[in-house]
This record gives sequence, C-alpha cells and structure tokens, in this order.
Amino acid sequence: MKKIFLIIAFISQFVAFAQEVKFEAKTQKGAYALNEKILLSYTINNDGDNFEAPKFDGFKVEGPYINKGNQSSITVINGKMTSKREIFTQLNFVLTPKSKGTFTIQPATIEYEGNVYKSNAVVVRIVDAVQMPSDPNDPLAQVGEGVFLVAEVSKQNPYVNEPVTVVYKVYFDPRYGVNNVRETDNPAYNGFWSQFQDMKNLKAVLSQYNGKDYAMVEWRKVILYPLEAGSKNLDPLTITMDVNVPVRRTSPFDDPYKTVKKTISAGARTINVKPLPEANKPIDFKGAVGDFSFKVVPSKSQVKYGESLDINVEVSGKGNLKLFELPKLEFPTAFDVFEPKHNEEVNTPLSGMIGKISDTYTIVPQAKGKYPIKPLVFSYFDLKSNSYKTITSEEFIVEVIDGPGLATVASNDSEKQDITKNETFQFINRKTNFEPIDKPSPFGSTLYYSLLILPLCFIPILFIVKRKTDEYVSDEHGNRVRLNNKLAKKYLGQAKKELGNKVPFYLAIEKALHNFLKAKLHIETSEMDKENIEQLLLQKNASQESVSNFINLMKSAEFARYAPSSDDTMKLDFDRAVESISELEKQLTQTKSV
Amino acid sequence: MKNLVYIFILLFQFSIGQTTDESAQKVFEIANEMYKKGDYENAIQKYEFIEKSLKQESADLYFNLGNSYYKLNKVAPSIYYYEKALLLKPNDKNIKTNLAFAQKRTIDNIKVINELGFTRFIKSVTSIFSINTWTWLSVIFSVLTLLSFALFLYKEESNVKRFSFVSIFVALFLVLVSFSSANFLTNYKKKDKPAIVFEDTVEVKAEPKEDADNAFTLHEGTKVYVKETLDNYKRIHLTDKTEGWVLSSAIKEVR
Repeated sequence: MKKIFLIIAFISQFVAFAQEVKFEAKTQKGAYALNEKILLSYTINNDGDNFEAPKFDGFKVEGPYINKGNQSSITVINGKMTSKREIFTQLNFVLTPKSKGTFTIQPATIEYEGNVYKSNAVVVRIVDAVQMPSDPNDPLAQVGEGVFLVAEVSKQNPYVNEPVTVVYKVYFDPRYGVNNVRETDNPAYNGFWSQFQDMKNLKAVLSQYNGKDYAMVEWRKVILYPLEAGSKNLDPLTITMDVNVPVRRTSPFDDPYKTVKKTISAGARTINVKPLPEANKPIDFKGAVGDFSFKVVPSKSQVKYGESLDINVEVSGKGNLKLFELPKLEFPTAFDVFEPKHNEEVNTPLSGMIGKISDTYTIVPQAKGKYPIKPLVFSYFDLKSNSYKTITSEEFIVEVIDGPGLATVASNDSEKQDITKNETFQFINRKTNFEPIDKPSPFGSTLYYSLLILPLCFIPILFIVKRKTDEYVSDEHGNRVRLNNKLAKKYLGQAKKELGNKVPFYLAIEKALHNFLKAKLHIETSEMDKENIEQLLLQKNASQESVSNFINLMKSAEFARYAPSSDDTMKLDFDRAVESISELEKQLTQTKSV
Repeated sequence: MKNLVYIFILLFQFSIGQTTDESAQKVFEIANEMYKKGDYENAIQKYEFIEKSLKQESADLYFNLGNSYYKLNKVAPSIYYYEKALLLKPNDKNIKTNLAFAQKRTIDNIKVINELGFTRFIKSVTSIFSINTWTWLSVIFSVLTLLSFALFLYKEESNVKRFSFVSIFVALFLVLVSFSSANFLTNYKKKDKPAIVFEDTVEVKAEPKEDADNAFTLHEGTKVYVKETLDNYKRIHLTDKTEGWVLSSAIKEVR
C-alpha cells in the first residue's frame, strides 16, 4: 500500500509543479435551520499533512471523514492529446448547530511539501428549525414516520349492548413493501363480547391520512358489545412486521431494499359505557338491545291426543341476538313438555348482529280439552328512539281432540289421580238452594247449647220423677190403711154426732168398724164374715176377749139397726165401740212392733 | 230478651229469607239460560250479582261460576270458585271433576303431601256433613237420647227395654261425635285458609320484604294456604309443605 502511495506520489510530482495548491472550505448553503445538519468540507487538490481543524464553537462536531481520491482527465485539443491527473483530499465534518445565530468558522491549516496552506473562513447562519424533509438516505429514520397503526373506534359513549366497531388500519409509505405481519399482543377486550371480522384478503388501498398519501391495509375489524356499564379500557393491538425500505444503491449488486423489523401498536382507548336508562324499564327486560320483532307460533292449533306439537318462540332483527335470553313459555300441566331446542341464525357483519334466534318447544298433550297458552312478553331497548319497547305475542288455544278426558298422568299428586278416566267436563247445575252468605253458624250459639243440653238435663229429671211415681205406687197399701184408719175415726165421729138417731148412728158405727178392719187386716168388705174376722184377728195376736167383744159389737150394731133401742144403749154401744177399737189397736200395734 | 229475639229470628228466618231467595232463584235461572247459550260473560255477571248483591250462596252457584270462567279460559277464577263450591259441598263429584279439568290448565304442578292417616280419617269423616248439619244432628241425637231413656223407663216390655237401653248409648255417642265434628270443623275453618294465586306469575319471597330473595315462583291458579299476614305480605304454605311470603294482592282467599 505504501509502495503504491509512493509511486502515485512520484507520478504526480510532474503535475504538481504545473499547478498551484488550493485548499478551501465550503458548506452547501449559507443558511441552515436549527435542526439541520451542516456538512462542512475542506478540500485540497493535493495530498496534505498535519491538517489542523479550527475550533467549532457552538456546534456539535462529527468527523473528520477523510476522503481521498484522484481524477484523471484526457483532453484532446487540435489533435494534440494531453492527459491530466489530479489528486485531491477531502475532509468532511458534520456539524449540528446548538443555537441560532451567525457563526464564522475559522480557517483550517494544512501542510504540503513543507508549506502551510490556509483555508478560507466560512460564515453560516442558523435560523429557526423547520420541518425536516425526510432524509432518503436514512432508512431507520424513515420507517418510524412512514409506517403506523391506527385504531378507529365507532363510538366512545355506547349504551350497554350497543355495538361498537374497532377497525385497525396499517398505514405505510406506498414505496415500501410490508410483509410477514404478525400480531404480537392481542387485546383481550375485557368487559365486551367481541367478534373478529373475517379479513379474507388484505389489500392495500391508496388512502390519505393527515393530508398525505399512504397505502392503507385494514388489518383487523372487531365488533364489540359492551357487557356492563362503566369506563372500560381497550388494550392496544401490537403488530410486528418486516418493512422493506428502498435505499440508494451504491453498487448494482446492492440490494435495493433494506429490511427493517418494525413493531407498532395502537388502540389503547377508554370507552365509557352508558347503562341503559332505568326509567320505564319493563320488568321482563332481559337485556335485548336493538330492533327486533317477536312472535310465538304453534305448528298447528289442533292436535290429536298423543301427537306432539311444536311451538316456536322467535326473535328476529338486528341487535345483540346472542347476548340475551328468550322469554320462556309456560304450559298447563296437561302437557308433557320437552326442553326447548335453541336455534341461532345470526350473522355478524360490521354493523352488528343480524338474524334470528328461536326456541322450539315440543309438547305432547296428555288430556283432551282446550288449553289457552298465555301470551309471552318480549321487551327490548330501541337504540333509534332511545326507549324501551315491548312486544306481546298473541294468546292462542291448543285444542286437543280425541283421547281421554282426564288421563291420569303418572304424576304423584293424588288430587289429580282421584279422577277416573274418560270423565267429561260437567255441565252446570240447574237447581239450587240458596243460603245467605255469612249466616252466623248456629254452632256455638247459646240457643244451640241449650238445645243440646236441655234434653240431656231432662234425663235425670225424668229419672227422679219416675222414682217418685214408683214410690207412690209402691206405698198404696199403707195409704189404704191410713185412709181406713182415718175413715174409722171419721165414722166414729159421725156416730157421735148421730147419737139418738138410731139408723144413721148404727150405720156409722158399722162403717167405722169395717174401715178399722180394712185398715188392720187388709181385707175388703166382701171378705167380712165373722169367722174370718175372728180368725184373722186371733192370728194377729189379739186377745180372745177383745176379739169376742169386737165381734159382739159388730153383731149388736147389725142387730140394733132393726131393733128398737134407747139413747142409753146407743151411748153404751158407742163407748163399747171406742173401747174395743182402741183395745184392738193397741194389741195389733204391739204385735206389729214385736 | 236478646235471646228471645234471636230465637225468633232463627225460627222465622226461613219465611223472611223467602223473598231474596226467590229473586236469587230467578236470577240463577236467567244466568243458567245465558250459560246454555254460551253467553258466559253475562252469565258470570248474573251469578256474581247473586253472590255479591243478594248475598246468597250455594255450592251450585259457585260451581256454575267456575264453569263459566273455565269456558272463558280464565284459570284462576274458575279454580277459585270450584274451591269455594267444594267448601260447601266437600264431596261433590261434579265439582271435583271440573276442578281437575281446570287444574290441568295450571302451570305449577305441586305435589300434594297428604296428612297422616289419623288426621286424614278425621277429616274425611267430618267432611261428610257441613258444620250446620252436624250442629243440628247433635241436637237431634240429644233429643233421641232423651226419648230412648224415657222409653227405657216407662216401657215394661223386655224387648223394648233392651232396645231402648242400647239406643241410649248409641244416641249419646252420636251426640258426642256430631258435636266434636262440628267443633273440629269450626276450628279447622279458622285455621285453614286456602287461597288461589290470581297473578300470572308471583315471586315468592323468603322474607316479607321487597328486596328479599326469591324463594320460588308460582303461577296463576295454584292453591296455597295462608298462614299469617304481615303488612301487605302473606305467609303461604304449599301443598308440598314449602313456605314463603307473597304480596297479599297476588292471591285471593277462598273463604
């Protein structure tokens, strides 16, 4: 290398003599912006040694970058050819201004063949910073500006369940090639139901962004349905790609593109989700938001016993179809109901879910009759009018023909099982007996208790009465005795009054004696012959004497009625009667007491 | 004095009640004609006129009302009136049949847990007659006891005596039975408060508060029993013994 250098130096010596040495400094422009870089170059048309740079006050300095070279030129003038070789040395400095103002860069010096050459001074003016034109020679710097990701969110303030779309767009300089794009960080979309749009072919289209032309690719489209109210953060989407940046070729064999790996992200947002208004919210609102129609349709209105019947509950339209529940149909116990079959036919374009969802109930009637199926109510929030809307399906009647009237389903409720098969609905009753409502029940009233107790109270009364009568009846004998005694006394008294009147007197005496006997001997008048009386009296332990006295008295009383008698005999007979009766009385009473 | 008036009213009730009873009969017949023609709305109006304005009732009236509502596909009122009819005639087969038809239309299918054998026996025996019938029966048997006692006392023939002796005790026993049946039914009536759910769906709460947890849901036409009332809530009890609180307005008591 050194040899070559020496040879060159030797050759150039011939020329060197012929020309003077020039050493100069220059910048491209006189005025630079504050953010521009200044290329200051010192050139000498020969070799030089001991280059001494001036002090660059007020600049940041890079360099010197030394550039040596030679130029050879062949000139033919009038058939005479002269060849010329020139050698030059260039020293480049890159200066970055630190402040505004006018600066003078002092001359530099260089030594050549013992002589010291001095360059000129350079004056530069530094002015306000300007928008830098992109430097086509710095691929790294370029890529940062030419490729970016933008997330477009359709709504910042949606309602709960109102669809929001997010479109991620990659913009890049149309001159670049972009390939090998991959997502390095996927947002989770917490608090949202999300669905990606199928991006079949990514196609770059020419588009403007901030007034500049770019190639744009819609990288990803997402539909979000906010699931709850509040401010929700969207995570950013980060993608990594290889960008091919065209560079200036220094040789034809250089790659015309430089490949740069670039990572960009966008879409970190906060979305404020509004809750649905509470005012006028229907009770049966289940979260449907959009624009819907609702119907309940049975497959047929008449069904034979044992056949099945389908009832379709369907919501169709636009809105969060996959995000709410269909209202549930309820059936009379006369049906066997199977779990409804859920069916969804929903497309999700960028405008939101559209289609229909339905529940199909299969029911099998178990008994004959007409069964009304209650209307169903479906409520949703209409985004156009910002209000709740309610659709009520029509009530319909399922008529079950044929079959048993009240089939006993194998259910365990006894009340329904009591009914035998083939019963029919009974007609009204035509006759009745009315009673006033709320008539006080006689039960518990005093009248009732008295009516209940009274007959029972009569039982002891009846009993007592019966006993008394029995006593009375059983004491008849004694009564008679007492009566006869009384009569005897009565007739004796009568006889005393009739003393002097013969016939009534003796009649009375006789009656008195008879009654006495009746009382004492318990005999009747018919049984009264003398022997009988005597015998009876003696049996009762009367003394022989008093008995014969008594008999005599009876005889004399009988006799005296028909015979004449004086008052004295009557008096005597009365005394005898009294005496005899009292005597017998005493004796009979004694025996009784004995 | 008051008792006398009461006795008087009781004795002459029949003759006094005659006039309203007669007009009720007339309205009843008109309503029956309407039912026959299929004019159920007007039939209901007439039947309810008897119930609400004339204050007259009978099992047949309630039965016919239940039928009319059934024909109009109104589940809760039809069950309500059938239950009302059954209270007056607990063993009527027609009422039971049509009630079963109406119950087929209800949505809830609640298991019926029966009472134990003895209670059930008592209930089935006492439900043979109404309270009033039992009441009068007890009086009649009381009188019969007295008569058989008298017979026993005064008749000397041994056959009659033997028969009347037995009949004293039989009649006395029947007095006790009918009295206790009437007593049982009166107490039961106070305790037993069946009610029918009138609203389409009712949330049964665990506590008598609006924000209380929902224990379960009931539907129109289900029979419940009211246990107690607190403010505008009622504690109910189902046939399968589950319990909860509902708004009083959601149900209608049968008695």
